[in-house]
Amino acid sequence: MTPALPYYLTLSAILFAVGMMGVFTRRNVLIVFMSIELMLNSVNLAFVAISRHLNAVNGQAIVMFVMAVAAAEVAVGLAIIIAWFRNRESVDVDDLSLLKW
Amino acid sequence: MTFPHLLFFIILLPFLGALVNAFWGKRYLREPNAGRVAVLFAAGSFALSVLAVMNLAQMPAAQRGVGIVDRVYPWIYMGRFQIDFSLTLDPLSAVMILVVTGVGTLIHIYAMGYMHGDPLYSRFFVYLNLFLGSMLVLVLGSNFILLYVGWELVGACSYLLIGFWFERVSAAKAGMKAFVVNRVGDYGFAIGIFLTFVAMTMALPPGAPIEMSFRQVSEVVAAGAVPMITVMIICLLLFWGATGKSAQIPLYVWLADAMEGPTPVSALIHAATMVTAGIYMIARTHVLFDYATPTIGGFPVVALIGALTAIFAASIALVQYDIKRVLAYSTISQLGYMFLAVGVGAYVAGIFHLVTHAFFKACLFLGAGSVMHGLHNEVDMRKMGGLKRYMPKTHITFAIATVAIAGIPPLAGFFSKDQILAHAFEHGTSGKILWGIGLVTAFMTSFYMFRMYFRVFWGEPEIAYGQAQGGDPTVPHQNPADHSPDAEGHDVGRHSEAVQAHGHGGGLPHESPGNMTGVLWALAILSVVGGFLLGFPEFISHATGLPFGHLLEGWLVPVFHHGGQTGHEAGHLSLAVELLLMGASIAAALLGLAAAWALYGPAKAPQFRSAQGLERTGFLQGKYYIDELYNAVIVRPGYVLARISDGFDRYVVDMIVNLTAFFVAFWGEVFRFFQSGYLRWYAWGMLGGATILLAWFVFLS
Amino acid sequence: MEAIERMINLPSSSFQAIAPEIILVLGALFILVLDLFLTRERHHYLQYFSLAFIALAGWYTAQLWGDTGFHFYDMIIVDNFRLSIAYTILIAAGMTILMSGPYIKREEVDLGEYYCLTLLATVGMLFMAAAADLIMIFVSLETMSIGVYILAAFQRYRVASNEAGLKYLLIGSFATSFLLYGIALVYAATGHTDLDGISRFLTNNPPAGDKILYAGIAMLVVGFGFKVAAFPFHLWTPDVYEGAPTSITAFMAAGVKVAAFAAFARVFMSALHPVHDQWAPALYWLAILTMSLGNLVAVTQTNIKRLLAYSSIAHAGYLLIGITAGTSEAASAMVFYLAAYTLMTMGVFAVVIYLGHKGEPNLTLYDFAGLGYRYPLLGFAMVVLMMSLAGLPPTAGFMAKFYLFRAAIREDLVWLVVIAVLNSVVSVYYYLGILVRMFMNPPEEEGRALPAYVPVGVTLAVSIAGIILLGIFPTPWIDAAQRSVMVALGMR
Repeated sequence: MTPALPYYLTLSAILFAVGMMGVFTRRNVLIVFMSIELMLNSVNLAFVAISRHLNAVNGQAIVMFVMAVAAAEVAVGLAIIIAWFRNRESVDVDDLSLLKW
Repeated sequence: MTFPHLLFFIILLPFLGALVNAFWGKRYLREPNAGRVAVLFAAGSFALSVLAVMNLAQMPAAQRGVGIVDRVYPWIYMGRFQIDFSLTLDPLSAVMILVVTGVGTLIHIYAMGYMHGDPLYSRFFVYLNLFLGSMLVLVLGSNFILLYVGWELVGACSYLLIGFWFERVSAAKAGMKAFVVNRVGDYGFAIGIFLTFVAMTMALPPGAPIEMSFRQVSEVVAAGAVPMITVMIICLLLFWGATGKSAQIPLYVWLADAMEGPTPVSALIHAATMVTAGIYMIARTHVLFDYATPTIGGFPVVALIGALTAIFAASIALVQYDIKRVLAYSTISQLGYMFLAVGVGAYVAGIFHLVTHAFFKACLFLGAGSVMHGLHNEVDMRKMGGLKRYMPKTHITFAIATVAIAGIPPLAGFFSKDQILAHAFEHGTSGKILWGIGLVTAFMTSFYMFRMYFRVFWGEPEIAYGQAQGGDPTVPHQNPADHSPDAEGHDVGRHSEAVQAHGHGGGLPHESPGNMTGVLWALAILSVVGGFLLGFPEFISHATGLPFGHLLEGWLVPVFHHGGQTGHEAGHLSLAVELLLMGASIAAALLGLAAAWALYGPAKAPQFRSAQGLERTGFLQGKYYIDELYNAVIVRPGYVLARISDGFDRYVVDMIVNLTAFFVAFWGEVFRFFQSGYLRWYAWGMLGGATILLAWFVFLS
Repeated sequence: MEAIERMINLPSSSFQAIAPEIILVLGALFILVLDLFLTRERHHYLQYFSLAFIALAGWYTAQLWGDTGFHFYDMIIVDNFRLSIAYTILIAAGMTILMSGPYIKREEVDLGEYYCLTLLATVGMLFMAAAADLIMIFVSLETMSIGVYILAAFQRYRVASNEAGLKYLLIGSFATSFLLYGIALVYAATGHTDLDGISRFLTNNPPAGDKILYAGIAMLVVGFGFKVAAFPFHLWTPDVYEGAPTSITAFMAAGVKVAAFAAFARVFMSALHPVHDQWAPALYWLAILTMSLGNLVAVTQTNIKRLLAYSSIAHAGYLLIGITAGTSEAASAMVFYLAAYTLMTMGVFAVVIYLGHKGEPNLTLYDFAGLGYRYPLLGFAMVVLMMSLAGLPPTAGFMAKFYLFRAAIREDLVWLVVIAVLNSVVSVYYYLGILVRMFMNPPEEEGRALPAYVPVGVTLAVSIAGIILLGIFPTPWIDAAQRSVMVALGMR
């Protein structure tokens, strides 16, 4: 017998929170980015679990889409980070504050 | 031949012309071509109008009353309120569009010569075309809303054109005055339309669409679904609007000052077309006026105001020296005649006079313009005389138009004026008095017109030509009411500079160029034949078997004689009475001519000593001091009120506004502070929002 | 296996249902290839071809008008709501491309990828309007967003542009994870991801206190709220709008917002309509806070692009009123509002492009001083645009607000409308403030001749004409908007 759905959802929520904490506390833009990916993947976990729980396949299909989209996002994100780094010579998110007020 | 949206194209063409000149006039088309383009679009509109009217004429009479309806566009649909952008060509609007586009085109052509050399040449034609289009919206619109749109558009164009020479303070002020006085009228008109709408919501069954079309309103009113008193109030409010636009007592004061505009404008807007909008509007809503005629002491209000305005303005015109002002008061007086006609239910006679008046008054104004053109913008008739030698063509045409307006047969003015008087006469006891007023006015009209004619074209000037300097601002101003020391008369400003630069300064008077005199001829011919071709009295053709008939009457019958409403048309009076009345009006006209000859004939020139008693009548010279009265009673208290409001505005309203602004700016700055630029803050903000939302949804649901 | 067979046997009507999107994808690829064969001087051909593809997509959209149905296993919906939103998006995209030509040349980023990405982002937007399933919404939202992330950072040499793109990307993915979480929770609660299924489930099983469902709805609000820039998820907006290339700012302000609102409206007004009473109060306050914040802060702004960003936040607040009302009348008012909003946004950013110069030095309000008299046509255009944005008659902005507020009044949201009207009054202050600077202040510097950007001028002219047309003759468009939601499947 597999563990009940609430356990998976709790785990997923914890992972989501961990990812969020990373966004709030880390200064390196790459790590912030990775934290966001962690948030996305925590949701993937939830999808798979729910899918299994409901005995429906579409939740798992969603995960495929999310992974594909996340990969694209990473590619674009890294490219933009590199472009920014070239001009700003920094990977600190706090330097990402030229535009304000 | 016809094609879809023919009517729409009629109004579209002038607007397109205005657009073309607005965008390319100044930069690419420039002087002659901008005018040509404008004339082309105006003439195109005229051609389409003729086409449309021919289509209308081919319809059977019963159908003609409904007319050709061009439902261009469902305009404003909000629940029951369903206003179409829809145009209607029925016999009444047919007459109007022919006058508007026909006379309008002629005046466009004239203006090409008249505005020669003006630095804002192309802009003038933009406004002129814009006016033409707006006026067509006014007369073709099938509902009150569209009529109102046209009404306001022509008002705006009038304002722009009166103040066209805006560097001249008097012109700018005149424009302002026209605008403000017209606002007073429009206020009543707008309330009238609102009240009509309210009446319709109550009269129509629930759910029935309210189109506000003239057809719908007329049908509802004719069916008796609206209380009599409501209709009467609506009529009074509509008439209030008409007194503003058509310069009747008490709102006539703007029209004389409106002569500050270029003369073609005076001819087109302030004589032939726009000022007749009030008459058109009353004729258009005649079902309302017939259903519940507002009366005061047995007199129909409309007719009474018209008659009083007619005699009042005519008496002022008797002693004016400024030729354009004489014509302006004459216009007010003639408009009074038209209101007299529609007030007693003689709609055909009123429209007839509207048409003939458009011909001869346009001719007179343009003739005056030609005189001014030849005399470098002189308008004071005391400095004129003997011009028939220098300007033969202007002279002849002016003479024809003068005879026409004076009411001497067989020229146009005679027929229309006589019919108005005859209809007034048969309108009960009150009608006799109105007729009497009209007859005296006819005498005065003849007198002041011939006075002007003799002074300008016969005799000799007080100072020989060639010695006078063009544009002498020291002329004693004959209007004490002209409000300000900087109102300098008509002789400064761009136009005269341009003209003088062109070599007209000083020297002898000269005849105007061909395109101006050509237009004068066209209008003079219309003034001659317009009367008996359009409205030859039926009783004479019956008695004599002449092949003429009352063409206009037959044409307009479907509009005014449907649904059992008969109006008060001719035919009740016996032949003898008719002839007697006709004789009386001819006599009045000839008497006026004789009096003018006696006082202002060439023998008396150039001092006119015998006339000095009349001319020094302070009351007339001062135009009954109505302007002063308004100034004292309305404008000055208005200033006081304005001061008080100003103080209130400054110290109370502004304080509230400033406090609010401070509050807004303060909170703006506070929130702006959160916009720190740091990504972390933004994420925190989102998390905060998400937390509150989650809490809301999870714990409060 | 069976599934694959069914896939192969899809009816051709299904492909017609996404024909506009297919055209744009092919167009984007074609442009990418064409770019290889064109010299720098001929890059404007890319612009023409992009416009042609957009026009073709528009033509195909017209072919679909009136059809209704689900396609691709309830992933794609065809109804007039989608199609009228699609038109708005295509107009936004077309105008963006039109005004981009001279702009990206000036900014020296005249690359073929620009058009390709714009078209692909447009595809994402169109799919958002067409999506009938939460997965579809997620995927299309990301398709759109990824394209826009790159476009925002397109001026590689400019730090501000890089920063805008990176900020947008980071905070955008952050928000997306919320949206995704919301989808997961709604899926958990209802067992459906297709909107119709969710709606049916909620109608049949009224969820008394299903915490998971409501948590999911809250997360969805966060996710959509981010895309439409609702308070407090709007914080990125001014920074990104300021830093991104101006043409892309316009694209974001109009296209992204329209697409996001379309999806937002479809999810909340059809799928979640059975629980309308539960989510409406939250959106009520969200609307109030969003419009008030947008207008209040806009008053303090001096940079025109930031000011317009706050203005767009305020407009998002007004539009949220429509979702709060939740009726089909409100939906049709939103369709009209979005169209009007797109026209005025495009017009005003066209003006910004006109006035800017290379490198986009701070384009402040002071730069507007005295321009009204020096360039009368531009002055006229700004008068119309500002009046429309402030919601004064006789412009499209006025009619849009009028219909939207009327729909809200019908739902007894009187106080919401009162606050919205007060907000409009505040907005008059800063919109007309720009006009005051243009017409009443003397110019700051000696006349710099405006560049002769014909396509930008065309964009501006189209937008002005549209604003006046919608403002003076609103009836047929309102009719179309009403019909578009009447037929809309699942809309109540």
